[in-house]
Amino acid sequence: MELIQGFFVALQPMNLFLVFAGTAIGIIFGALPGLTSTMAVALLIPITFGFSPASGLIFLAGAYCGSMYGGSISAILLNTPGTPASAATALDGYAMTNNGEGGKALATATVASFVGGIISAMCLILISPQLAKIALLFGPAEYFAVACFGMTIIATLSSRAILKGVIAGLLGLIIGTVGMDPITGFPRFTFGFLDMLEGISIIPALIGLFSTSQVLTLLEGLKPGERLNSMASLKTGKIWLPFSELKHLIGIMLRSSGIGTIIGIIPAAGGDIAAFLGYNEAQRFSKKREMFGKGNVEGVAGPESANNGVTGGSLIPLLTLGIPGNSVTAIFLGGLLIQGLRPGPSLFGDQAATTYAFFAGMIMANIAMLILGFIAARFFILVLSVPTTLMVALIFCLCIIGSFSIRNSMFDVALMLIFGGIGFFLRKTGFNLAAVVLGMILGPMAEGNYRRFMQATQGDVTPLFEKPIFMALMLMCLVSIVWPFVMRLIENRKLARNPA
Amino acid sequence: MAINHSRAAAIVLFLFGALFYYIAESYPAEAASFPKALLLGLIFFSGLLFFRSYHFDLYKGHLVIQQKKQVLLCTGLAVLYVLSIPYIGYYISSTLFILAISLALQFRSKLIPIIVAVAFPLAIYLVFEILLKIPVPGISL
Repeated sequence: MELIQGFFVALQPMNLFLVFAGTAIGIIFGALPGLTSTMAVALLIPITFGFSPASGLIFLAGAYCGSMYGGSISAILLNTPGTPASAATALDGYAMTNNGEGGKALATATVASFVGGIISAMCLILISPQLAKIALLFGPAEYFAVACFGMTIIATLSSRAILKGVIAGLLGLIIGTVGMDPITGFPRFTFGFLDMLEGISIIPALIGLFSTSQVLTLLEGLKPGERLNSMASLKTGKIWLPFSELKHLIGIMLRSSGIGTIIGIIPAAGGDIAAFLGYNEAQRFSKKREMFGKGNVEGVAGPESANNGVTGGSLIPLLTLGIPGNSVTAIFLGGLLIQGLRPGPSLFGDQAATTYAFFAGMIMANIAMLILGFIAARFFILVLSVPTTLMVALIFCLCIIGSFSIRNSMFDVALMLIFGGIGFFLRKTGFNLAAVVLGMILGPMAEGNYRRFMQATQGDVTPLFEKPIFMALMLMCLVSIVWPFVMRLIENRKLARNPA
Repeated sequence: MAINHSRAAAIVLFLFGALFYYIAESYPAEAASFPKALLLGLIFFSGLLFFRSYHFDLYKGHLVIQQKKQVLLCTGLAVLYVLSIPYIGYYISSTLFILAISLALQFRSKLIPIIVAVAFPLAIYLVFEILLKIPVPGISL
């Protein structure tokens, strides 16, 4: 019933326009190499201030889904994946373009992305309310354990250089302590700035970390004296997929959508992992395995369904428990908080109307993506002719508006600049920015709940052992920490047995 | 002289941790305990990273910034842009910034940056101030 009401909201003319606009902007961001889904959502959040919460979230849903799909367009036509999630698509997609089947590859990517997105959104709609009911049983101890579990994701995020992952997480946690102490209200590390009493404003910090630092990275790769790029010679052919081929691909799409959704739910495992798993599975079940890498349409359907399957899945832990599993959902969390929405059971209680409108928006965004993909995919590629010189200037101008609009404060603009510098330095020195963000978001949650629990029990920790949910979550923490090491051990053993 | 990237990060983070720990010393015990524990962790692990940067391949590699002059010049322009906003407003400073970046990066065309520098602030004005009623930084039109 609530979902039907959600559709009534999502289908209002203004929201329909917003979902198409968000999806189109998302596709453009996705198609442009160097720009990411995270950047798309971060830079669009300020625009949502002028909308109702439901409209704002619908707009962002479009941007998220669109940017996931957009990367495939440049991957297929130019062998330049717009996002890491579309790198697997380039393997067979570009080969198809070379074989004169670019249009068919684009159509397959569009349909596969649509199937992945829709299945993922359905899982989001079905699973989230049930998980939120469990979250009703949570007290400070359980929320502390949830925050700890969220932070163990850092181990997965940086399984190779775990020490750098831990340092990045600690840095995020320390940044999270800036502002008033959650229990006593004592100001910490505010240096007399009133703007910092409520803590570091999350959106300017994220815009700085992800967008401004990316602008600097783009500048690094830019050769002076750039010309206007020309895409005039690009020919795609007709964007169409015959029904007989679609029938053959539907199994692959469904399987990869499931993989993508599960990968999305697992914190820290993003679209790139899902896409390669989807590609791998498509190859494993294929009757034309030898054609993979040479332009097999199954090699486009598999990764595209999988990476778009991540969209809904990754929102499940965010909306129910407040754990952002990746950088896009961390930004989404900022978008929710700005609209006065707190992740957890209340999203499915008092705020159900907005939440279900957002769910309906996720479905609509995938439909918009399907329509735009068939009608306008070849035109979206024209954005690649925008010179990087102008792009970096425009993105920086948008970063300024994005960080200013949260509180109409130039202080936040300065904060964005500082975090841009920090982000660039951390990128250059091999740290994972997502680990910093996780620390920033989960730190206050962990500290506040831990200290509230200790206050209630007067420092006695034994009641913790009588809480089954707490114990289960701590067990999951342990598994999450140990898992990357076990995986590495298995890989090393495999390598030792089979060095070739 | 190029420096190992892990070592550079370790030094910066160690100093950051030590400075903030010193600041936290002046806070009441209850408010300081959590940040102090984290800062001790940061100091310890950045020290560990410093030593590991000598012994483990994983933490080796130089800190290299390509096109250093270009990055520094554009960063300087960006700072000037932000500082100028309260005085001349977002629109004029954005126009000047886009033109300055095109000049600094020696963009070949003269006309396109001018068109973009005029069209972009206009688009922002229409979308943010007229359509969405969201104020932009500095002086509004």
